[in-house]
Amino acid sequence: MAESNPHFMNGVPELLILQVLKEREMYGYELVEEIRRRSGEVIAIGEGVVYPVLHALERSGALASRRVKVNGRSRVYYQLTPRGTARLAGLSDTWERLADAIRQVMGGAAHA
Amino acid sequence: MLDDLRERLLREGVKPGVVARYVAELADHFEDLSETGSREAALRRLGTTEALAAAMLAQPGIRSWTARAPWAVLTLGPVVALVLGCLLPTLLLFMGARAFAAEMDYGRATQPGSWPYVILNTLFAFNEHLLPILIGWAVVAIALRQRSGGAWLLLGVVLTAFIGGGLLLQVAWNAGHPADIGFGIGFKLADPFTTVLGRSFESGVFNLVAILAPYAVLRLRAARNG
Repeated sequence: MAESNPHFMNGVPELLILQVLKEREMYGYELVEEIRRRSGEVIAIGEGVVYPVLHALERSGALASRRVKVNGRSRVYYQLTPRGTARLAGLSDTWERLADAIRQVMGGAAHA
Repeated sequence: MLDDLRERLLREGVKPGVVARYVAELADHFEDLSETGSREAALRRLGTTEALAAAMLAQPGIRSWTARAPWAVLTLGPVVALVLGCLLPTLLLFMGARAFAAEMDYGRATQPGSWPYVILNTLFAFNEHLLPILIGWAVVAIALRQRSGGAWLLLGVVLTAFIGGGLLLQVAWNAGHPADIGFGIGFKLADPFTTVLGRSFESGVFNLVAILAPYAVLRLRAARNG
C-alpha cells in the first residue's frame, strides 16, 4: 500500500534548507536569498519560518551552528552535519517519489 | 515589533535562550533586508508579530520547564534547593570533621575564635539566614525572566521563607570521644503555635519581606515607567 503523506509540503522548507547548506555554511538571510535566487524567485521561504526550522534542525543534530562577528554584528552560520546529510538523502528520496507520482498523475490527466 | 514578539513568546513559555536567539537573528535579518530596501519593505517581508510567533510556537520542545511544570520549578525546586543547600555542606563538614577528629584538639576546636568553630558558625549562619533569601531571589528571578509566576511562585516563596526561618542546625561533639560527632538539621515548626510569634515565625516573615522587597521595587518602577 502507498505511504500516506498528508503533510508532505511541510517538509519542503527543511529539504531546501538542507540542500542549500550541503554546499557551504550560510546564515539565515543568505539562505533565504539563495533559495529565492535558485528557484527563480518562485520559492520565498518566509523570513519567520526559516529560523524556527533552522533551530529545529540544529536541535535534532542535522545542523551545527557557530557565531561569527561580521562588521560588528554577530551572525549565526549554519552547516550540515553527517546526520543532516543522511536526513537530506531521506527527504530527497521521499520528495523524488512524490514528484514522480505527481508527474504521473498530471501526465495521465494530460493524455485523458 | 521584536520587543512585542519577545514578550509574546516568553509569556507562551518558550525558553528564554530560544527567544533571545530567535529575536537576535530576526533583528540581524531585518538589518540585512533594510540595506537592500526601505525599512517598511523589510518589516513587511519579516512578517507580523503573530506570524513570527506562530512559526516558533509550532516547533516542539521549545517550552521551558517553568512553563511545563511550574509546580516543580517554582514551588518544589526552591524547597529542595534549600534542603540540599543545608545538607550537602553540612555533610561535607561532618565527613571532614570525622576524618580529622583524632588529630583535633577538642578543647581548642570548640573555643570561639578557633577555625573549626568559625567555619561551623559561618556555615550555619549562612544556611539559616542567607540561604533562604538567596534561593527566594533566584526563584523570583527565574519567574520574572520567564514571565511566569502566579500561585506556584507565591507558594514556593512562602515555603522557602518559612522553612528557611524554621531551620535549626546543631552540632554535638562528645568531649570524651572526639570521633563521636553529630550534626543535626531540624525544623522549629512548633514555635509559632506554642509561643504565638516564635523566632522561626519572625524569621520566616523577615525572609519573606527580604525575598519580595526587590520584586516589589521592580514592579513599582515598571508601573511608574508605564
